[in-house]
Amino acid sequence: MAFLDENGVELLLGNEAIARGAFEADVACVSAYPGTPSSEIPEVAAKYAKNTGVYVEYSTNEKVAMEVAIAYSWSGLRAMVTMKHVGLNVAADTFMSVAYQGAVGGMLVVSADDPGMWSSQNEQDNRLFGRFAGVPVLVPGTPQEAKDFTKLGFELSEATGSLVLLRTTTRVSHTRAPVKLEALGEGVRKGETKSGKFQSNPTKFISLPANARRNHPEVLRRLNDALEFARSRGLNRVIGEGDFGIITEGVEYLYVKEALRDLGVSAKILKLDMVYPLDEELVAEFCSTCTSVLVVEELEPFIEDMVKSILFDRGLNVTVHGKDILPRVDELGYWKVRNAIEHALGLSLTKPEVSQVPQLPPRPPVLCPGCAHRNVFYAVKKVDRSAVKPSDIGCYTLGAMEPLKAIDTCIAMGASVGLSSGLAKAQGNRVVATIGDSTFFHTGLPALVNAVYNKARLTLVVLDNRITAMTGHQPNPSTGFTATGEVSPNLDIAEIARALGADYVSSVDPYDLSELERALREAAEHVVSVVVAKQPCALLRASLLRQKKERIPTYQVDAAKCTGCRVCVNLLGCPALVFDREAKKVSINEDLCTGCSACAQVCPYNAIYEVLPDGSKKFDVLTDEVKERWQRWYSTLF
Amino acid sequence: MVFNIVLSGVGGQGILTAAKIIGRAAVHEGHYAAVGEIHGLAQRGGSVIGFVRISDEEVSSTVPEASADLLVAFEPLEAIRYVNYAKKGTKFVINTSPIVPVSANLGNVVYPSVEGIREQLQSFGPVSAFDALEIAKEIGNPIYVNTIMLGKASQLLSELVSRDSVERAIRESISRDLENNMAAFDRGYSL
Repeated sequence: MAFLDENGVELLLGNEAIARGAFEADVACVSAYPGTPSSEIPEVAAKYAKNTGVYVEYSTNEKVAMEVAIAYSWSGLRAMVTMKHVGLNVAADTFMSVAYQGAVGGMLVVSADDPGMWSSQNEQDNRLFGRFAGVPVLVPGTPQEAKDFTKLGFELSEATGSLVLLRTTTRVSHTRAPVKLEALGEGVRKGETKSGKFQSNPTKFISLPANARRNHPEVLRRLNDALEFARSRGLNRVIGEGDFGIITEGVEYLYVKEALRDLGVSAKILKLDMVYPLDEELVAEFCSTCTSVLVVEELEPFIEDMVKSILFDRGLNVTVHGKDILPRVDELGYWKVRNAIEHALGLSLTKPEVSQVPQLPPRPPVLCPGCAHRNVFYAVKKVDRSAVKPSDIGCYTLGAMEPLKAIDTCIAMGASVGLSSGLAKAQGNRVVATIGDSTFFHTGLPALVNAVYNKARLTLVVLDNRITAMTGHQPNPSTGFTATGEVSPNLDIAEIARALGADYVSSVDPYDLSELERALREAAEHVVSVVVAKQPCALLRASLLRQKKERIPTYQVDAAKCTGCRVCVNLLGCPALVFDREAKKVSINEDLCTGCSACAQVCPYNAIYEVLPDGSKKFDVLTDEVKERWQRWYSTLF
Repeated sequence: MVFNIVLSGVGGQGILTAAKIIGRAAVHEGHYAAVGEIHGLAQRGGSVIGFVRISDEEVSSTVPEASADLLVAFEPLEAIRYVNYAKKGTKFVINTSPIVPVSANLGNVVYPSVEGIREQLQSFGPVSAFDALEIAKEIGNPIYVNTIMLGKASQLLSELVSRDSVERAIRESISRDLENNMAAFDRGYSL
């Protein structure tokens, strides 16, 4: 495969380029918790782990992933930890402390931010985290830069002794563009597994207050060294000429370039590669030759505030535009940047002739056909409509959509369980929460301990589909193998819940709706109840069955028996169900159906049947044989 | 020079694979290409949009509104949904086989007429509309919608990217079932 070639040009995703950069830098360890838009970094690293000798792991959460990477760094080896922007919140406790303690082997923390919130709950700007921690921040704008800055990051880390934050955004991580391949690291090329040695250094590694007091000034010393490094390596370039200055970074630089080309105006651009610490002398020198300066950056006025402060300190009187004419929310793009440049130059604003999109049936993200989460939401609503229903981060957040509307809250990873503990007390009522397997292991566990300890009346339904589905099917402790495919313990969530002291624990097959309902009713009779709904991700299961050439059952509607009542559609909202308004009949799209039978189980007229291999119709859908088939799907998934 | 392509459809139809193949083909041809992907909240069933920008210099991967040169829609509703990217002269390639979204099964929201969608798009530029699902099923599997659409798009791109380069990119990107995919590509290209 071309990915491990040592020359030539490959069309790489920004995230693939980061993994590739780490391989070229002879990384020893890549640890991660998956999260869009960062997930492809560990995915690609894991794919080539065996050939390269790099240790790749999916850790149970970002904080653990950070600690695993630090362990490699403190053993004198290069390490990279990757996460989405909000993952750094989880890892922050360790990150902030290690920022004082510093790296030994080069240590890169990759944060993939999501301006515009394409798949996130907020658009926090993690450049601020770099400043908060006192850690240098590199910001690539293209896949090529993503690779180059990854390599530079390791060198910067070793030159200064600091951790380095590589901050990408969705538009960098998820852009594919040509990337020049260079030599792989020596060990990576040989496929050698690296081993390091931890050398005791109590002042550095033991964060007692007396040591931390010694280490804090070190943070400032490292930032100073980072400036030297950036200067010596030619980071932060000035491009073009003119009185009008633009200070920018990352993908925003490309918007600037394109807008200037179309406007036919010239400007002098300061393109920042390392946005923190900011090279004050460079900025002052750049601005002193400009009559006005526009800072083009997504989200927070991070660079702008620093630029203004530098100009103030030096008594330089230069007009600075930034967030006065550019939005502080959402990602930027060509038109926003072009209009800001026009505004700053006093030109009239070009408004594109954008055609109005007519009123259309929306097509938001939706639970897949055959997804067992749908059944859980159906049953939870049926059994207890009045309970508050917190949910969590995963595909199942889509339980919020029409027609399921079966969740009330979603905050952040694992938050459903802690929130439920509080809600049960605050409301004086039972709370019914839903959480996925990976999220349960991520941060649900300590909150469940809390619920048991504080006796919160909670039914926690763990949607155990044996995989981290939403981010692209990464394995987790419920899967039975690791990131690199090694067989590992398959942790049984029900056993864990029992061990933690839950009053009622039951494992059920959510494809069997009556069984699911029974468990939920029983659960309501106890204080802390955990119901584990075990059915693999339908998408993954269908694709694995196809690979094994096993039959995937499909269901059809008997038009003579269908009354067009739409109970199936209104209760389940499965994308494979199609309602014909003229014929007043429901049909099943055979290309989409994955054979879960939920529609057949809820149909009041028994109009939905399984199509048997000989073409005959089987209306009795809930037989022992069918239940055994589902059981097999869960237990022999891989 | 920047040539802007928008690809849209429903999650699971292979839109991002098609975008990657066009991008790869453009690079084989000696151009710079930036392919933009958005990975959403779910694996399947939601509206999906991807971008390919072919250029002679480094560009971002996002197509600005009102500037698509070519819009390839794998599903008719997802063609009109992204009409904000169209401009005077945009060319369209549309699969006319609908995938009805859940929202159009509930309440009173109605799926619009495919003919109406086609007429609206024709006010911008030429529209190639055909039932790619039917052709795919003739070849043997709905999955070939992807390479059929890619075939027609490639024909419209032939001045910029040669057929050979696209075929090479397909061979590099699709490992399984190459023969049928090539047949599907040819069917699309000949439409």
